[in-house]
Amino acid sequence: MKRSVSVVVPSYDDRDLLAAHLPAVLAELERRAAGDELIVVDDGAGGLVEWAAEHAPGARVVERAENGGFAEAVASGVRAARCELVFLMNPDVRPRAGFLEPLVAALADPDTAAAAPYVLLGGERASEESLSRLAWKRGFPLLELADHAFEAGDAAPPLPAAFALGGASLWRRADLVGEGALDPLFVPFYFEDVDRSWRAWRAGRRVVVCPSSVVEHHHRGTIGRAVPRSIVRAAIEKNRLLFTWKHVDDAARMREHLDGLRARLFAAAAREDRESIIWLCLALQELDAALAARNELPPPVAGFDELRRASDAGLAPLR
Amino acid sequence: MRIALLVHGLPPEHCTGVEVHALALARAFAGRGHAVECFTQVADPARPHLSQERVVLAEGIAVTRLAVNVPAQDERGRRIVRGAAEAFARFLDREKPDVLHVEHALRVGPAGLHAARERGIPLVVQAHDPLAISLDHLLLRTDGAPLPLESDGRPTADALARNALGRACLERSLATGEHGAVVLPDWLPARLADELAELLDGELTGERAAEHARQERELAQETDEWCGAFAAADLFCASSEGLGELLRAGGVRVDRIVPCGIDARDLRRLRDTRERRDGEPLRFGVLGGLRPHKGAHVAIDAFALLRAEGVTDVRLALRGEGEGLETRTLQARAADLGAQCSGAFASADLPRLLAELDCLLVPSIWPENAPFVIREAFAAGVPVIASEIGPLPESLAKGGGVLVRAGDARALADAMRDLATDRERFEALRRSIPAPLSVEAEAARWEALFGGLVDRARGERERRRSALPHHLHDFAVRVSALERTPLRELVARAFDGVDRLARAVAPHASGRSGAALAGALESPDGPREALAEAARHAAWNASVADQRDGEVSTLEGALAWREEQLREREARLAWREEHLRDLERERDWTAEQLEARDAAVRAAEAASDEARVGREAAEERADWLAERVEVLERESDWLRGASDRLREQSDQLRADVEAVNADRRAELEERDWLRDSLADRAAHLAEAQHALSDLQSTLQALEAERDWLRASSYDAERRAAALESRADGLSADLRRASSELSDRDAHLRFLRGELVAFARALGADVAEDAKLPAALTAARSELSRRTRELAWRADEMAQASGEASRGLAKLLGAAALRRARDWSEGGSV
Repeated sequence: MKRSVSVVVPSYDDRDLLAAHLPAVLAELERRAAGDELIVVDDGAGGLVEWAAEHAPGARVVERAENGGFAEAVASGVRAARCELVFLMNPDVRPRAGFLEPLVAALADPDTAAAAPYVLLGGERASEESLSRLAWKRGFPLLELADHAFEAGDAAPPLPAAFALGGASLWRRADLVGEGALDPLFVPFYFEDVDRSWRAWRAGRRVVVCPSSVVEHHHRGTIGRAVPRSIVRAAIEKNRLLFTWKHVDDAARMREHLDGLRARLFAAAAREDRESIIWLCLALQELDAALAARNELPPPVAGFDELRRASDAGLAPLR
Repeated sequence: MRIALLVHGLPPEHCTGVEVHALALARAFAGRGHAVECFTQVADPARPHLSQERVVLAEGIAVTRLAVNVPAQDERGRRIVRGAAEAFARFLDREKPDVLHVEHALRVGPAGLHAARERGIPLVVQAHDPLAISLDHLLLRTDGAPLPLESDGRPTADALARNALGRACLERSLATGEHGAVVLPDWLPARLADELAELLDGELTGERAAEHARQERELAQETDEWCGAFAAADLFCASSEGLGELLRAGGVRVDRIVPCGIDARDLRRLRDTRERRDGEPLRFGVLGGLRPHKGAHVAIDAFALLRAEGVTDVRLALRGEGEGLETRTLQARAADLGAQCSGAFASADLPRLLAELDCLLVPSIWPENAPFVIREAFAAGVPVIASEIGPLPESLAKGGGVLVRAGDARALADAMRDLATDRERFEALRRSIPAPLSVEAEAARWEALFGGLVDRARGERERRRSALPHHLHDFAVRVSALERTPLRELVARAFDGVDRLARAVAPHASGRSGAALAGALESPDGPREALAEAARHAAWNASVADQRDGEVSTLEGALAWREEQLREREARLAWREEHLRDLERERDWTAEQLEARDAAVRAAEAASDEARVGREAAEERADWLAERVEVLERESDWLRGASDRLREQSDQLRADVEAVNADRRAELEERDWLRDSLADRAAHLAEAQHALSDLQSTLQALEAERDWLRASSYDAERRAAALESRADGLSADLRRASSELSDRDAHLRFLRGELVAFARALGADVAEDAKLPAALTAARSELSRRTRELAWRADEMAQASGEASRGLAKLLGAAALRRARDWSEGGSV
């Protein structure tokens, strides 16, 4: 008996993207014939119900009265989901045939919190953003791609990853609602998925990438289209710092981070690099909330560096 | 409101009208509760060229001074300093003003104004001169004549280019000083005056024609740049109606007329305490630049006319800055006439100087705008005689002054004499002085204008925000607020925040004072940037070394891991192959079981539902097993391939490790070398800075010496001309003396002939060619002898004459006696 999946697509005025990519999703769900469903969340733009009735019959539209951003839209979609498994998908993602089965199979393991597909940027074979690792450089955590020996579609076994992209990953519904929901600390966007994945690692679970599951990311997401680049970058850099302050619990690493922060601040002031200082100030405005979130975290099953190694496909032992 | 104020100079270094006004306006803004950041420039050889220094004045006004230590290299460089606009843009990025008020954009240039617009900072320009229509803002030619204007109200490109050539010519030949824009031809040596006239009016050929064409091209481009920058201003204002008309006639968009106010606090007391000085000479004065375009020479000419006419109840004082030939000439003439003449004065001295004046002269020959000195004089109760030219009459429109034709010394002299001799009229003029606009009132007007622009900019920001998705509004507001916060405040906040973070997450870690570091960044300048650059280099070197170390350890770790993975995968492969064989055996067994069941079914010939279900289940199981076998075979194939690739990668990695180790050794050597090199460079830098300082001192001395030499050269030229003239006179004298000598020789020869003839006539035996002394001696001797003989003969003759007289007397006596006797006897003779 196949396990059914709710595919949740948060959307804000992305009809061109939905028109381009939803048919592939619907076709795949139909092929699976496993009782899956497609939920499109209209994040305040309006009019999607009528549009979907005409262009994507079979999709269920959840309307939000007010635009709330990625995390809020995901929460609305997940609340409306009827299946135990939820595949989060951005409107600029186009799945390839058979993308769900390896992910569903990976989540058969109760210790696996999330499974992500192999993501081809722009559908190009040479460019991908799948297998993430959490590196540590000069006092700062850095998300980067791990080395791997497989290619898209290879029947390689699932590999550990630091996080599963919020724009294309399979989760259990229970991990995305209530206590396990995406943390509002990371409003307006970015790093909610990293935070959610890392909390799983801290709790002794794992996040994996399945090379045999393939999606294409045609990087024209809502954020980049509607928001100036400087705002997007400010949100990313602010949240990178908040993630650090929430999760780095190793004293030596935190001292390194503080030294690095001061050195970076001094250099930015000397270069009159206003932008970097603004990112830091934005994060500092939320310092109290970050410290509260840090204090609320349950104790991790292993230290920060140990979890980094465990979540790094290049260093983790094969399971 | 955060107000940035751009001006080319500020007191105490620069004290002309606009500069003094800029400071007064900044103070008035600060007094109204605004944060004021001034940007200006100053020559400061102690600092690196283009470095910035921020100081906070007592009134709370912050002034960032850009060091400009390189003199202008060309015509454009007289107005625009290369690199100043970029420095100004950095200032804007640091300070993030709500509005930029431009008193004058000289030095920073048009690019500085564009920098403000590009950053969305409302730009307000206050024009104090016609720069917007003419790069030669005096609208005068180099020889003092009016600059010819085209029908569009702007000077011709040809005239501007010729003026540039004229200036270059004067600067090559004379120490005319920085502002030597105008020099009257009468003051120039004849040769130089001729050359200037040729450049301004003559036909240009050869190199001069090429240079003229180049200047035309470059000045046209610069004019376009200035016009573009002024047109981009959100608000372009003129400080007088007259200037506004002049600019509008030149096609400039003038949005408002905003007259300038003055800080009259120290001057009002003078007005209140000023008393009549009947019976005392009337004291006239010129305050400001002692330069031809300011008309100081006209005042001196007028004073000379009054002196010549015997008017004695008039005094004249000239006070103001100046340099070069034109100022020296004025000073010399003033000294000859007994007028007082002194150099530049500080703005603090203005009340004292105005207290020593009864009437101010503003005899400008250029279409001056609205001189601040007139308003200052009015505030101090001093009436004014000014030229009737350009917008200048507007300053006297409400009273307090007399207008005379510009450049007309006769008219100025008459006006001075009228006031000096008719004290009632003078007093009436004094009483008619209007109260000048205060700078506080001007600041209030600007405040209202700025408010509108700032509201508009805020509205624009809100409009952009409203285009964002709703959930981003709050975040965008936060980002926008930080973007508009001064950099030093951001840095201080950030250091404080990091300290707070450190106390919360690492209470035992050694903290560093963010406030101290932020304080160190208060005045960004070149050396600090150099220090930061050096620190970046050092950090980069260290990071390269760290990176290499990291790469080596990572590669070593990866190699070990790959080998371990290889072993594991080989074991898994063996296990899977074994599993595959088990599955094949299970499949075979299942197939056999199936066949047995089929046989049993066929034998039973009665299929029960349960058996059918069992068979279907078995078939499904068989399909699943077949599919599973297929997947496992695919995985086994992939694993075999992956094992091969891993083996290859392992070999490659071993080679890489070796290579990286070699690189690492080389890098370590290079890092040591770089450290040594860095230390050497620091030492060299210190030496170079020391040497640079010496060179700058030497350069200053050389420039002073050059100026002295130019002045000496001019004096020497004048002395040479005088000597030539004297030599000509002496030559004429010599020719005249030669001619006279020839005449005298001829006369001598004639006299000699006469003498010889005379000597011969006297009987001396004198040869024709006898030497003159001998002939003379002979003649003298003969003359002496003859004289003696003559005396002797005279004595003889006298003696003979005496005897004859006596005989004659006797005879006459006897005859008379006889006649008397006869008469007495006969009564008749």
